[in-house]
Amino acid sequence: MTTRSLAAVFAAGVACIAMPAPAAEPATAARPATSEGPLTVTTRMMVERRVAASDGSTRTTVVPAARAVPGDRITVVVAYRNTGSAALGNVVLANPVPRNVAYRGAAAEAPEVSVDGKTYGALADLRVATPDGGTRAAGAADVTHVRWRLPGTLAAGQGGERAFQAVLK
Amino acid sequence: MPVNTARAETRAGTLVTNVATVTVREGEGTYSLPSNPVAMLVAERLDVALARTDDVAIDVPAEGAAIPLRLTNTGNGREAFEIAARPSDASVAVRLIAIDADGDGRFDPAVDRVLTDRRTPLLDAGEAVRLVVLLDPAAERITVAALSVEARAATGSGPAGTAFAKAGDGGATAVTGSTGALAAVAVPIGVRAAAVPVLSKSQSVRAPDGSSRPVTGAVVTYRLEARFAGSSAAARIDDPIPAGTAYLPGSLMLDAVPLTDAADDDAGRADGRAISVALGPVGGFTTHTVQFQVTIR
Repeated sequence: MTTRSLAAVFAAGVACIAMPAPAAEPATAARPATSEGPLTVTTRMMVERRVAASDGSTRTTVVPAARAVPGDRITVVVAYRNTGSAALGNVVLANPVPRNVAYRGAAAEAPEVSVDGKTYGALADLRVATPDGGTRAAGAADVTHVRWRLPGTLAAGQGGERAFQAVLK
Repeated sequence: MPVNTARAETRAGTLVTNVATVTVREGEGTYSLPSNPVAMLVAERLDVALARTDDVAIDVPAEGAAIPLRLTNTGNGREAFEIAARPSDASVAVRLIAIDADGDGRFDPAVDRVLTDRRTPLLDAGEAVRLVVLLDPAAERITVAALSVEARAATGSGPAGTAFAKAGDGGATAVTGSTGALAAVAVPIGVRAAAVPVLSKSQSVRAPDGSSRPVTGAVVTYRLEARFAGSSAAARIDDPIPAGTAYLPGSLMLDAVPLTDAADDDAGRADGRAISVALGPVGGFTTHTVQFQVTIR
């Protein structure tokens, strides 16, 4: 990944997530993937904390990742870009939910989710096994993987971001 | 006995890593590419809880009083806690703070571990220990209203969100949680009198010339006043005859009643070395006065 495309990843911002503190540095800086190819993918994690104000309202601030404690909300951002000269089709972004993190949902462009890493779908359609041999409806905390299948083709030079929200267990 | 509370919280110092992949199907080929890994070191949240383990009325008798407490590390890391115990006035003194290893709410030097530096050992996240604070009477009248006990994380404390760089487990940042890493409990203490007897001694000198100069031949009258706030099974007052003086035979008195010097039926005896008065069983709120005389040689 070139310096130019890395800058583009930062410039893209997090359009789909409301970040009331835009000046705050990303909790974890994105680093370019080392692999070469016509497509790049980078990821970063932002930590948000809800802070109760003296007037009773709650506001959300971005805290440095080094201060993330259990209960903090995390936004996992996946940024992608076609750095080649030809359009790409059937692009799929996948992200296993990190250990010690519980999936909560996505503010926009909801991903397909999986509770086993094999079958993907809407959360409402998924079921998980119970110890007594039956199944129950899956909840957000059961999600182990998310993926986005990008519609259409990704033109040369085009890129974007997807994100999901989670909470540090 | 340490009690571990089941907690699902991620431990401080844990590295949370994320890697995404992108997959493209192009014609016949499919290729996948991993992203950069991003890692987040989970910070140590410093929190603590402190509570009494009983609600009985505490008073402070002569032998002291034990106040049992329970301290819980409610943070997500291994942490030691500094304990401070402050009485509301100086009529009692803190003898020691110990880990109540057998959890009986009393201090037993054979099993309980005294926190000499007033600091607990490292407690795991969620771990609780029983503590016992021992109070001793420090004044004739116990006037203390409360004992304030405070526990704070050894790493640091302060308003929620106070951060201590690299001070947490695994080199993570330590940051105070909602408790501010400080817990306090006020234990009300009854003002019931302590049973510690108080002995006060006064003297008066009368010289042969009628003055109060302590010259040879002068008579010194000693007055010992013993005040008993609580009852006592067998009290006795002993006092040595001061060097350079001689006991004046027949001068021993208890509550203004003369006692014989011989070790006989009455409560007192006296010889050249000491006087001794056996008071026997003594009720609470009583005062006894012993008087004797010596001459200066």
